[in-house]
This record gives sequence, structure tokens and C-alpha cells, in this order.
Amino acid sequence: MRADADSRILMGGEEVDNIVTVTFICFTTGLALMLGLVPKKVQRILFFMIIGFLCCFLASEINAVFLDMFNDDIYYVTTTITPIVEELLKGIPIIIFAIFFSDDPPTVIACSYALGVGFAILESTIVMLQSINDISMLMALTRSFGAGLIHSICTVMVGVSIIYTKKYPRIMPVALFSMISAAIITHAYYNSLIQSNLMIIGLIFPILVYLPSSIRLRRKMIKNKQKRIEQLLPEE
Amino acid sequence: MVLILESVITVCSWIVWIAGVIRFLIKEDSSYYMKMITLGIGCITLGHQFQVIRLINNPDNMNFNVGMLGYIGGSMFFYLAIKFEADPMLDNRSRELGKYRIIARILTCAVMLFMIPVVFTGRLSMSIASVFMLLFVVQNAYFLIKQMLIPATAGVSKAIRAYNIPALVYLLSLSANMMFYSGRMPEPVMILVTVFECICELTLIPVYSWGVKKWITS
Repeated sequence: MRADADSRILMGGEEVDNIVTVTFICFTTGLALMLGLVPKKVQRILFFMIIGFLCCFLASEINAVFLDMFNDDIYYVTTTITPIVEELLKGIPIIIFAIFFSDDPPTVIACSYALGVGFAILESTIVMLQSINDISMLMALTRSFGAGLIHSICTVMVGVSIIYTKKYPRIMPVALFSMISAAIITHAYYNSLIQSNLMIIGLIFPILVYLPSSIRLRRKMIKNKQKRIEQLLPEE
Repeated sequence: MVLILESVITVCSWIVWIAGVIRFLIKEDSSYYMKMITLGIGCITLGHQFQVIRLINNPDNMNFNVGMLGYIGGSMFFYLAIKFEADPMLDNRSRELGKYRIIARILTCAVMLFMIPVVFTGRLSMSIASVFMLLFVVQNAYFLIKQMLIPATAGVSKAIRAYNIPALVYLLSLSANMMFYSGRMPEPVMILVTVFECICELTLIPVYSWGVKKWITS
């Protein structure tokens, strides 16, 4: 079983605890200071990035407990427990935001993406700081790239599912659970690939999901915008 | 053995998923029903793929794993499609159709009785996951059987009917597939389950496409 620096997910421990706390404070304080000075749209994005940091911080604590529980079986914990813990933690703020605070699909998607990115930034930083002497620039780049994409995609999946099912309360619980399951399995699949000999597929996989879905989302957004403009224009 | 069987199922799942994405998911005018089914197959495919990689890396762990969550998520997508998309078109909640609902319930109970011994062959953590999956599989079975029994009031009933048989067998074999890792399932049974699962999965999309075509042209 291989668990190199590229594959390790936040696992806790005394030294790691310090790294997690210090990094979390540094990142959050800087961004929190900015919150009051920027426009509302940017404020929202920054806020969700901070929430992403917070989720990552909590995930590291919870994962550490599970790692102890499963006798330090890193492979099992990283491929089965951490995806569940992390996706649930990331999903909850987005679910609350989409249900109670926003009806606008682009806003929910952007906030989901920001939360995922926030989570990935802190996670990648901590994982790489743990083995700073063994990390090459290429490894840092590929790690941040893969983790950034996969966390964002999984969180957006949850956000999109609420947007589409919010109008149908009967469907929403099942749809939400099935989409969270899809997000968890996507995350777990990535984690298991990245720890196997098929690491390269693990890096290509998020791109394969990201590119078509982002192009499609972009097209849809442009179409909706055009529709709105057409509706606003006076009839001749 | 389990690795070979799981690999075969994974290859079939990938074929069906890619076909589903091309045929239904990226086309805006295709039905939500089939979009949901494709998403379900996608979820199940990732689950199977995860199992293959897990079996290569860590074959000894027989506890619950996320691959099973992929199957549960997949069966939930099927439930969304079958209950919320197809059922309102076929069952108008009238009293005349009551007898079909009762027969469907009885047949579903028979299916459940058949599945219970399969579910409890594994460890506790696996069995809990299987019970959760079985809840949705049984619900799906009820709606699929009911849709097969209800007389064809419209073209759509006939179209869906053909599709329901492979979908039902597929979901049942998927629940049995979860127990491959218990180490207690005999090899011939595992092979049989794999054959059923692969055949039904591969026929899902062609049968549905054929059904929809027939429905539109009738």
C-alpha cells in the first residue's frame, strides 16, 4: 500500500495539528480582513472560501479520530472515510445557502466552487507542508491541480442538485442524497486512483469531468442571460 | 475471481455510461427519465471502478467501502426516474388500478424475501449498507412490477414495459453484487449474477431507445 506525499489526506497528529491550526489562522485572518472592503459579490465568494478553510480544518480533526479508530489504515480511511466526511462537511453550508439564501443558479455554483477551492487550498498546503523536503515543484503543481479540481467539482455537484430540485420538495431529499453519494464516490475514486499505479488517470479524471461540465454550464448561463435580455427588451 | 468478475462488470458499465452520456445526458431535448438513469449508471460505474482499484490495492478489507455508496446512489437515481418521472404517467391513482398495485406489492414482497438471505451473507457494516440499498431496490421493484402489470392505457406504458424487465434484473443483481466481498457467496452464483448484471446493463439503453421510438411513432 502506497501513501506518498501526493496522496495523503489530512490526518492529524500533534505536529500536523499545529500546521493545520496555524495555516488555517493565517489564511482565514487575511481573507476575513478583506471581507468588509470588497463588493457584495466578491464578499460572498471570499466568505465561502473561508467556510472552505473551516470545513478543511474540521475535516482534519474528524479524520484524525477515524484514523485512530481504524488502526492507522491510511488506505482504507483515505478512500472510504475521508470522502464521506469531507463531502458532508462541504455540502452542509452549500445546502443551507441554496435553500435559505439564494435562488440564483450562477451564484450557488460560484459559491460551491469557492468553497471547494478554499478546502483544496488548505488541504494541499497542509499535506505538502507535512513533507516539505520531499516535494518537488511539479508534484506541488499536480497535487494542487488535482485536489483543487476534484474538491470543487464535488461541491458543485451538490450545489447543482439543490438548484434543480429546490422547486420539488418531494424529490429533494432523495436527489440530494444521490448527488452527495455521486460526489463521495467521485472523490473516493480520485483518492484511490491517486494512490494506485494509475496515478496519471487520477490526474486526468478531474479534467475529464471538469472540462465538459464547465463548458456546458457556461453555455447554459449564456443562454439564460440572453433569454433574460430578450425578456427585458420591449416588443416591437 | 472477484477481481475478474468486477472488472468485466466495470467494462460493461463504462460502455453503457459513455453511451448514455452521448445518447441522453448531453442532449438537452432528451427525457429527464433517461438522464436520471444515466446518472445512476454513472454512479454505479464509479462504484464498480472503485471496487476494482480497491481489490488491486487492498483486497483483504471486507468492510463497508465507498463503492457500495456508489451502488446506493445509483439505485436512488433509478428511484427518482422510476417513481417521479415514469410512474405519474402510468398510474392515475384510480380505484380500477388498485388490484394491480396489490399484485405488485405481493410480488415485491416475494422479491424482498428472495433478497434478504443475500443481504445478510456479509459482515455487519456491509449488511447495513445492503439493507439501505435494498430499501431503494425494493421500492424500485414495486414500481417496475406495477408498471409492467398496469394495462397499456397509452403508448408510453408499452414502451416502458420492455425496459422494466432488464432494469429490474439489473437492480437485483446489483444488490447481490454487493455481497461478492463477503467471501461467502459461491463462485457459480457470482458468475451467474455477473452475467445477468452485464446483459441487463448492456440492454438498458438500446431497449429504452427502441421503446421511446415505438412510443413516438405509435
